[in-house]
Order: sequence, then structure tokens, then C-alpha cells
Amino acid sequence: MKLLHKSIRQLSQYALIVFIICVPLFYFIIEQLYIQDVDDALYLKRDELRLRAAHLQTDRDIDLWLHMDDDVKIALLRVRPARDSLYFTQYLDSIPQEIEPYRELVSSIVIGGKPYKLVVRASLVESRDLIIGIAEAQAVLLLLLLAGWVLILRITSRRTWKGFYATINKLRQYELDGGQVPAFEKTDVREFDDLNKAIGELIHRNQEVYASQKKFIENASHEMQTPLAIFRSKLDNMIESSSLSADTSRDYQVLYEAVQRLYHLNKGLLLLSKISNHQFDETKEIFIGEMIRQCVDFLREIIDRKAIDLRLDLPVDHTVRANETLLQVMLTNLLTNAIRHNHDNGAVFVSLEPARLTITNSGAALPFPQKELFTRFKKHSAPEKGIGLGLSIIKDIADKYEWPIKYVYAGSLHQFHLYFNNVKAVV
Amino acid sequence: MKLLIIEDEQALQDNIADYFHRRNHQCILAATVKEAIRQLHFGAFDCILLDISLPGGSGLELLQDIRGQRRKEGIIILSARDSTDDKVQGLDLGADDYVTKPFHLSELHARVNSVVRRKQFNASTILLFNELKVDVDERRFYVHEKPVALSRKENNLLLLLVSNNGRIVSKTAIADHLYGNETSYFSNLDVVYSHMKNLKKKLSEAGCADYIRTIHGLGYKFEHDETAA
Repeated sequence: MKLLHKSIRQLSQYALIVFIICVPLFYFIIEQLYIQDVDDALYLKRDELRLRAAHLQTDRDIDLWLHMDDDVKIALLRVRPARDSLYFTQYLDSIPQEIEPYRELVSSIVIGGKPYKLVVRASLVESRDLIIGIAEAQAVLLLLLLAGWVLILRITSRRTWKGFYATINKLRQYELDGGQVPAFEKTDVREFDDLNKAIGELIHRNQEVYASQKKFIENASHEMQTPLAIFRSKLDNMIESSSLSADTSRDYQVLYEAVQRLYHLNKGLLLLSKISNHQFDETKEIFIGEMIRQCVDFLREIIDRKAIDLRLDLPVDHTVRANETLLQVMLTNLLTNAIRHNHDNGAVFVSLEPARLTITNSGAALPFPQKELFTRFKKHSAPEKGIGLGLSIIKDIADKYEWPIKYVYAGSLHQFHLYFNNVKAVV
Repeated sequence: MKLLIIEDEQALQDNIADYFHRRNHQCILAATVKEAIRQLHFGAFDCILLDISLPGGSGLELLQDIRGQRRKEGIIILSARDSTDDKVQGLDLGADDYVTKPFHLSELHARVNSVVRRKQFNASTILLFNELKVDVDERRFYVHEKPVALSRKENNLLLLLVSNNGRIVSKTAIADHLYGNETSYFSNLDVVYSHMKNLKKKLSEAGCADYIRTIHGLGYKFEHDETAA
């Protein structure tokens, strides 16, 4: 959920609750206040009537007086006057012929020494209309306030968050080994400027660490070459000694193989740093099918030795623009991988569609999660131990050319799909 | 053969010298550019092994100097840098070959032989071992004067062994020689065994005696004295 929607939703919920509770409450309070006001007015009128009644002398006076005000009635009381009482009631109004609500006060009055029952009433029609009017006005006001507020929030937030979205877009496009620190534009929000500054510094620091690590791997690999050369050349001399027994030979062989592994490990690391250092930027159009055939020829004895049934389906050849060495390394690594992680008498199937290369091979399932497949030194428990860099090299090369590579395992078949995005059909 | 080994890493220098001494080659050592210039001043060599990163100057400058003097020595660069650019630059400056550390001495030896042979005017490029004739330049093999059809890898393998006649070539050296461009690693050196089996089979079918000895699973050795032509 977007931040804007989240805040609007929460605040709208609050506004709705306030609205639902407040409008009736407001109506109720106003009504109470008004009733109180009417009651006060009725009491006032009673007192006024009592005062004025003192001036009335005859029954005619009383009749005349009563006819002057519709809202006052009196009747002779035979019993002791009851306590004053106030209540709501309804009367049929003579002019609009409608039943209207009234407030009535029943009290007593003494006219000419005789006690009378006094009934004073006040119409509530106007008050009800007024209260409803006030409540409606309040509701409209609240709604207007809310709508305007949401609208303003939407408009301003789009403008306010523009800087934020620009930052996110730049970060999405950013790659650690891409070189440049993205230039963040200045926004009119201090928090975003702070964020951009912090991100810029973070990227800068990361880039420095990354560069120094890259340099370190490269230097370490280069520095290892000379001791390895000493080790290996010493071994070459040692096996020339005359007293070479079967036992010492086996020891030497173990050492040879250890050096060999170090050497290839080193070579793999150097290749990876060279790829990331853009040392293979020279490209040309290369026939993929042709190169696959060459790689298969190169690996022929290894394929035969495991008695692997390798089938090529390269109907029409296409060219792709890439560095020749890298493409060769990638294809050889893919094929070697399919051969190595296969069982004897297994199968490898290579098929080339215009923009997709699929390499399928039989073999046991991965002993680790699939997403770790392309990470360095994630090793298979294959009978022939690798150095653990083959797939990582493939991935780096594929990434360099932005060729998506996908891995699927189904029905005890491993499948790698490589999608060339710059394939050219041969005319 | 007289070699000048210009290498500042003492142990490596010793190992190279040791290896070539055993084969009765004369080795002169130099650890700096200055020493190398002095040695070059004293006399001519058949081949110069030149390390690129040297104290007191770059090996590439020395290479330029040597070539500038129109000297005829074969020059092989020994470098820890395995990049095409470095290789191309070295060869452009007049080096005859470029070997990347860590190299196998058997590989280096084969390269030295090849460079020296190319440099020698009208030197014979034909080696004869009774019924087996090796045309080193053409990279062809004949048994009883009939060409033997070998695959490219078998061809390379036999040439490596012949250039190291009488010496053990380790299995790892063979694997690197045959699969040099390959970045994947086969700890399963049985592939070398496969190649060797095929090679031996083809040679014996052609009527060639078995001159290749297996040394305790460590490597192979081609063993026969050259026959006078």
C-alpha cells in the first residue's frame, strides 16, 4: 500500500468515526440547549402572566386576555394546585393543518382570588428545523473539509514525493560495478535531501570497498602465480630424480594435483576480476552454433570417456555480438557443467533456437537450494571435483551481456536456458 | 644450448636453471635489468627467458633494447600476467613466445626447443627415432614413411613428449598443454590416460614400437635416442 493511501485511509477512518459520532451528538446537544431555552421562556411567561393577572378584574377581562394569546390557556381548579410540570406534546396546527410538536408548562395561577390551572405552550417547529439545519450545515462542512484535505494531500504529496521516487528510480538502475554514483537532484524537502546525501555517501563507501576488494582479489591472484610457479617447477625437478618409487610418485601426484587445483582456482578468480574490470570489451559477431560445435570437439574425449550421449540440435546458425573468448569460456563451462554433473552413460542435449540456447543434462538433483546455484564455491558432490567457479563465471558473462539465464530441474533433468538478446539471423 | 634466465625470484630461477642443467644446457642467471645488460654484453645466447616485472626496470623495456640491438636470440617472456593485451604487447615488441606463470618446466622446455629451432637457420626440423619420423615444423608424424593420422590433441601430446625426450612429463602438464584455454578444472586426470591410450593404439597399429613409458601414474616419458638420419 502506498504511503499516501495508508495515511489517507487511516485519517479517513478517523474522520468517519468523528463524523458519525459528532453529527448526532451535536444535534442532541443543540436540541437540549434549545429545550432548556424554551423551558426558561415558558417559566418567564408564567411569571409574567402571574404578575399581569393581578390587574384582571372581571371574567370578561380574563376571556379577552385569553383570546389575545393562543398559547395560554386557563381552567378553574377545584382541587389543590398540582406541582408545575413540563412535557412534550403535539397539537394540530390550525393554519398548515399539520400536527406539530409543542412544549407545554402546566402551572397554577390565581386570578381574582380563585386558583386556576395555567397551561403555557411553545411551538418547537422552528427549533427542530433550525437544529436539523445546523446539523446539516455541520455535516456539509465536515465533508467539505475532508474532501478538500484528501485532495490537497494527493496533489501536494505527488509533488512532495517526486524527489523520493526519483531517488528510488536511480537506485533501481544503479549497479555496484557500474562505476558512477548516481547524481540525486535537490528536492524542496529537507528529509529527502538528507536521505539522498546518506545514500550517496553509502554508495560511495560501498564502491570504495568493492573496488578495493576487486583489486585485492586481482592482486592476490597475481601474487599467487609466482609461488605456484616455484612450487610446480620444483616438483618438475623432483620427479626427475633417479630414485622414484611408486610411493613417492603417489605423493608427488597428490602435490601436483593440489597445485593444479590452486592454479585453476586462481585462473578462475582472475577471469572473474577481468570480466568485472571490463578487460573483454572487444566484441564481434560470432556464429553460436559453430562455436558450440568447436567446444564439443574440444571436449570430445571427456564426453566419450563418460560414454555420454551428446546430441546437438543446431538447425539454423545465428550470430551474436560478444567477446569471442568470453563466449567460448561460457559455452565450454556450460557444456563441462552438463558433463561433469552427469552420470556415466548419461545424456546431454543442446538445442539452439534463434534467441535461446537450451542445454539439458541428466543427473541427480541439486544438494542445495536452487537460488544458490550461481554463487561462488557452491559445490556439487560430483565425482569430479570442480573449483566451484564455473557457474559463477557463466553468470557473470551472461550478466555482462544482459542475457537472462534460467535453470530448471524437472524429471531428473537439469536444464539451462540462455536467452540471447542481440541475436542476428543469418540471411 | 646456452640460456640467459632473467628472473628476480631466486627460487624459480634456480628451478629453471636446475631443469635445463640436467639436460646439459648452459644457464646464465640474472636477477635485475642491470645484470642482464651486463651478461648480454658478454656474449650471445640461444634463448633468453625474460621475466617482465623486474626490480630496476621493466622487462618490456629490456626486450625493446635487445631487439633494438638487432640481436638474434630467441626470447620467451615469463609473466605472471595472463592477459591477451600483455601477450600481444610482448609479442609485438619482438618476443618469440609468452609463457604465463605458473608454467610446467616440460612446457617451457618444449617452447624453448621450438623457439631455438626456428631461430637456427637451415636447422633440421626432422627428428628420427628408428621407424618414427617427426616433422616438428609441419607437426606431422610418419611411421615407416607413412603419415599417421592423429587427432589434434594426440598430435600435441606426442609433440610435447618428443620435445621432452628422455624426461618425465607430468599428467598435469599434459592436461594443461591439451586443455590450456579451458578454465574449468578436471581433477579427473583420467582424460590424459584416454588420450594416451588412443595415441599408443594408433602408433602401434601403424607399426611403431612403444617408446612411451608410463611412470607410476605420475606422468609419461618418451624414451629413445635420436637415430642419425
